Amino acid sequence: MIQTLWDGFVQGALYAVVALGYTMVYGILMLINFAHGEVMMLGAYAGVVTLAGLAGSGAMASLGLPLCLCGAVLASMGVAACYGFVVERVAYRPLRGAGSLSPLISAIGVSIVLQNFVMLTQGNAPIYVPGADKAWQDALTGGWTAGPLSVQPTDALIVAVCVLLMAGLWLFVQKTRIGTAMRATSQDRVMARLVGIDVDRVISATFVIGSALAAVAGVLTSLLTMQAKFDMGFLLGMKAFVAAVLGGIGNIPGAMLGGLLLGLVEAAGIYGLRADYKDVYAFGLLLVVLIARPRGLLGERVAEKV
Amino acid sequence: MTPFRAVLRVLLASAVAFAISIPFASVRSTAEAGFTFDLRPAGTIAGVVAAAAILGELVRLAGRYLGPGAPRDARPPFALPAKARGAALAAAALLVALVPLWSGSGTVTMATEAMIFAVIAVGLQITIGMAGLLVLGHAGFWAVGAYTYGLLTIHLGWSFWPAMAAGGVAAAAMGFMVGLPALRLRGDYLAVVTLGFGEAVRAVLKNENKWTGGDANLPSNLVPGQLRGVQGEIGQWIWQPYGTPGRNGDYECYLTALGLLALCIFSVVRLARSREGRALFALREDETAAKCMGVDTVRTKLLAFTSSAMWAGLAGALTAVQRDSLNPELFDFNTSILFVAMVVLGGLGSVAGAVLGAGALWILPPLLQDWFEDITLYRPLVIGALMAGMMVVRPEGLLGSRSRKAAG
Amino acid sequence: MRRTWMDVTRNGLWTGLAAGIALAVAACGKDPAPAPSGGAGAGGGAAPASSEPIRIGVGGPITGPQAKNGSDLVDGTTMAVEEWNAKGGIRGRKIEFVARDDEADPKKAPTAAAQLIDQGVVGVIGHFNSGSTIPASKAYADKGIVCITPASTNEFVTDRGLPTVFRVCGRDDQQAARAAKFVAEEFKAKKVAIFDNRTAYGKGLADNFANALKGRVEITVREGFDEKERNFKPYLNMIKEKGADIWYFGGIFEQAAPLLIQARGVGITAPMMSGDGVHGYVDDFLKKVGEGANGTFTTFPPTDPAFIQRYKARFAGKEPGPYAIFSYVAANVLLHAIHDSGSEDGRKVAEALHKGSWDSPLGKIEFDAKGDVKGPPEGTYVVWVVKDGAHVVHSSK
Repeated sequence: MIQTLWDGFVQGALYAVVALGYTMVYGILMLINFAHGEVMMLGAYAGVVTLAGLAGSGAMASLGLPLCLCGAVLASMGVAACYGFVVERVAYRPLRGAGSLSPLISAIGVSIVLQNFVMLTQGNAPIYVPGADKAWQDALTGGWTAGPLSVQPTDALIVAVCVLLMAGLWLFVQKTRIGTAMRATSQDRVMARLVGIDVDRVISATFVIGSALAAVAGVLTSLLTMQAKFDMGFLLGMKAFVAAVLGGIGNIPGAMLGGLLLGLVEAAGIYGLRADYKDVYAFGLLLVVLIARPRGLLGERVAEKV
Repeated sequence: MTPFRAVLRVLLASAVAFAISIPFASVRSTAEAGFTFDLRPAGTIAGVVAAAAILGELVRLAGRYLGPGAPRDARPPFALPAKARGAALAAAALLVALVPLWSGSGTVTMATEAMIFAVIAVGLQITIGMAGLLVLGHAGFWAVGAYTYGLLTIHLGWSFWPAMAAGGVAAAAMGFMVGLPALRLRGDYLAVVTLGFGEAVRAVLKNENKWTGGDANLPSNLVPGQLRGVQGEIGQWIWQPYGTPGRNGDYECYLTALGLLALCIFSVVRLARSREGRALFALREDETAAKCMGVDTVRTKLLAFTSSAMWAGLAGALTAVQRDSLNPELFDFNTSILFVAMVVLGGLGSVAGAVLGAGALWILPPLLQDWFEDITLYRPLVIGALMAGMMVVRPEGLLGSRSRKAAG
Repeated sequence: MRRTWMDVTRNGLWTGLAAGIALAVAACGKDPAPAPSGGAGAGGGAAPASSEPIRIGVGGPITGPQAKNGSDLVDGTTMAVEEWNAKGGIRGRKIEFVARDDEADPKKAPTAAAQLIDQGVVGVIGHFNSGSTIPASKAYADKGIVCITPASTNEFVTDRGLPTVFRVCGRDDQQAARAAKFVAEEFKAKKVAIFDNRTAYGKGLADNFANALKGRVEITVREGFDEKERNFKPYLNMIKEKGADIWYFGGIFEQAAPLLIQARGVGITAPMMSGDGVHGYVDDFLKKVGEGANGTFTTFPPTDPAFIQRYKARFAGKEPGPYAIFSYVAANVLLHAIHDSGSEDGRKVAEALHKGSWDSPLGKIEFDAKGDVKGPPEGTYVVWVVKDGAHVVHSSK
């Protein structure tokens, strides 16, 4: 039980980091960025490709695992940030102010394109985190045991990184100029423009930051599952969106809370109810929240903008 | 306007495509050999993007000359007198109905499938195209219709027509139920809720094979035999006189699908012209304004959901007949996306567009396989690109009616 | 002209029907020129001019997530067809085959089948996945076309009793019975955990395995997860919590690899057992899992090393997938039957298939009334184990 909940917590931390991207974009654009899950997948691919390449060229042996991991994460953040930026420019910006349906459909289209782009270029077989059987693996699978709970280094790494990212983002949004501009834009885009905020730049920055965060989550997911595949992003992304709604969309602490809660609910469902309905629990939870408390757990009531 | 800017845009697009596709198209790595680089695939992608961008510029240019959607009172240039039009329609329907007499039998199967998908797409046009409510779990309604039909015919021995109607009713009821929370939701939450609905239906079908699997010990596959009920019902009075054995109900399926499609097109067009239809379009353009003008949004949204689900359910019953077995894997998320793509490609709000979209996405790729072997590989990519590109370049689709908002 | 005539609300009916017609005509425009009277193979059986080649079909996942398996189908058939053509074909006529893609998607299987039917094929080698073979084989059977699947192990494929449907591979109930016998009698397990991926193949196999074990061994965990699931830790916890001497997975290699890696990661040392979906994928399973794969049991028929040599010689050193040999045998048996029956009518070929008996790299092939290969209740399956990164026969009792 405790072990399962812990695993759910780890998964929930990953949901939370991806949810941050959804919640920031939704807060500003009122758009579900369906491609966000794919950006996470792109990040995972970039990370795993880097890791495998480093391992294969012998660099991992000389540089050591931690350095290579950092390199892979940085590479994947950079790649994903580029994609986030380009996707917004190409597929969302021309549609700003075109009603709510067109951007949604465009987002789904982008998501399909990105999935198939990776499938066609990197192959439809999954790629694996290298050295699944070597000393490398031991470094990640040792672990600490306390009573019924055993924590693997991968789990600890994931939770630590996720907490750091969330804290970092919170500080960024609260303390920096561009963070303040982001908050202002999400409150009222027109007003923000009037007070001299470059809204386009803020939106681009939001996409870049959200995508970089998703990339980290992607690499960490791959470390957890030891695999990256072109279709890994969509469902995970949708669940992360559910987490964002759960916590209150547009609300950064809410996304974190929602992610962790969703992970725990899924784990509890697997353990206590039926494991094979795992993917349904998230959407059931979404329905309950939307009916009972549409603004989410931490969300403020906002009058719908007309 | 200037061609110079268009050229610049195309160049920029291909340059950006080249740059950002490098990490995936050009870099590969294995744990044995390290990195390998090859710039050629990225170059190919840049070329393809350049071609697509040129096409997009041309469409944009053409759109400038064709103008936006038609004024409401436009008459078709080839408008016929009402009587002649009726006769032409009847003749056309008869022609299509007789097509299987000279075509290959496999072709009949494909045409039947395409028509079933067209029914679903036209039905989906009500929610997406007319009411502007994005539904991402439409395959779920399809599944409800199909399995209702299958379970009733197998376990209760119902015959074709009542079971098919029951499939439609069950799906409509499900649509009503999914529509209820939708009343409180903005359009984009709705998309995720319906997506969840579709996943939930598939999960139930996969996991509860005790009652969906029959005796076959195969998850949720229906036992054949009674599914071909349609054969006896209409086959007797149409097909028997020709005395052609060995068709095994294909022609009957074809005719039923044709009839269903005609009925669907007819009633959806009637709906679009009716007061309710106008309310649907008003909802799409501006929900708040529609409400202010006295549109009953609750009733209208539920109407959209219920009727659109009903068509999917009826089509589902026909799918069960035509395929003779059902598998939960038919009703996955990709199928729902395929339906959305059919609607979007043809044009939001256009009935003809939905039919064309269904045909283009379902029939064209396999037909082109002789000339372009890997076409199935690229189908999803093209669908996705069309969906995004269509929204950016021509949101009204090939044949759609342009919403005022989209026109800016 | 600044208006279009396509305004839906006025002319939707008109254009809608026009579109419907266009669609139907477009679909029929692609009718093959020499359309055999009464639909391909629909009982006609009139022999065309002898210069024309005899056509057989291959239906399977040429592209899509299982393209690797599809290339097995094509390669095996290619080898058989080339050998027959080298011998001068059948009745002096060359043999050719056409391949159609179902993308391993049950939705698309009937379309692929319809196209093969319109190509006028006598018989089809395929499809691969049970979920695709079931609807496709029904379409072939309706038209009197032979369908020999080299890989679909679900019982339902042949249990329907369609007269022209055959398979050269085993059945899930045979394979599960063999696995159960091994687990209960040879491995002498006390506790077993069973997972599946909730597909027609995986769940069918796991259900059969569970049924066969009932009353013999305690089943501590019986769970399923989605095909796309990749984080298995919550499920693996169940094994740790409830205990298992051996655990069974009904599914394919792509999920089995991360499942096994993660199981070793959380410290599960009990061996995994699985079916033909995990057997024989050297690059995609054995190499990816590495040392952790050692001790993994699979059920698969014994294979002929000579065939592997021939395959490698033909395809420039390429490793054959597990089902290349079955595709080769299926194509050979089909061509033998076309030869023996003296007809290109699928129904007559099917009769010849039911009567005939052929030697093949898989042993003697004789079909029973349902279209399965005759043999003991456990089929020809033997238990393999992974040793030093390769499958070796563990128990052939």
